[in-house]
Amino acid sequence: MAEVTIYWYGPKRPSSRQCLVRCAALFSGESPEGAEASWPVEREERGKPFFPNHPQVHCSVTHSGDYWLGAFCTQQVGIDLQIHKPGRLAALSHRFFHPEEDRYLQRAGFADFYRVWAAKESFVKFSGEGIGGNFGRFSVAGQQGLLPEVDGLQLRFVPFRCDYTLCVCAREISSVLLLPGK
Amino acid sequence: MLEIIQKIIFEVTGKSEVTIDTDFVRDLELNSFDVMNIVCAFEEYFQTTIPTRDVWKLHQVRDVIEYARERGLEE
Repeated sequence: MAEVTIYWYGPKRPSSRQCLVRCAALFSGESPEGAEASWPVEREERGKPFFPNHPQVHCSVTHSGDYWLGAFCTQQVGIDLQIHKPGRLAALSHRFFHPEEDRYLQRAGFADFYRVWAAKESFVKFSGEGIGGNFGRFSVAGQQGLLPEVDGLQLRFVPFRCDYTLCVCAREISSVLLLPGK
Repeated sequence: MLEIIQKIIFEVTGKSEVTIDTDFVRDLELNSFDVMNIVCAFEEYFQTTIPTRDVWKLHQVRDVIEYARERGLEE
């Protein structure tokens, strides 16, 4: 079972890399001070970060609006935060989403657009393939609405701030803890 | 072409500090949602479609200009 810990930072925060290593240290019960030395970061081909010295710690990061968030777990994990802001929602849905998702959003008047978006992004961030891979080839929506899991991976929406949608993707999520970064 | 791209980026993101060397993620701190909105706006303006696999090769404004030039997209 996956116990996911999410750390968040607001607008006044260290660099993204510093946020990442400080949170990794916190997740592992270490002090965030001096974490840069003991938590070197490398990136997979599509940019997903990992810790070569700590292969048991998996992470995924996201930023949107004023916030940076990092999800940490002892299993593979994906996370996405998206602020709600004006955009070409219908065009984006038609252009980049699966036809099933596009049909669902059209039926629902695009009310769930950001939930579909965050669910899809968290799914592709789980694998690390990113949006350039098969973003439009899988669907997080069915006839009845949003699906709780896709290909055996759970999609869990986590309440955050109003005007933001946050979704975590992992296999068999048992708990999600949301904490401020330090 | 630079002016068109600056106009599109401003319209979509409100960011105005855009030069030919601007990196969408590093300099403008755009995320995937912003980038895809820009792609849609670009496609609308030029009446074209950018294959998704190509979108993620366009890191800087200069990449977009070069991409448009290679495909004969006119202002």
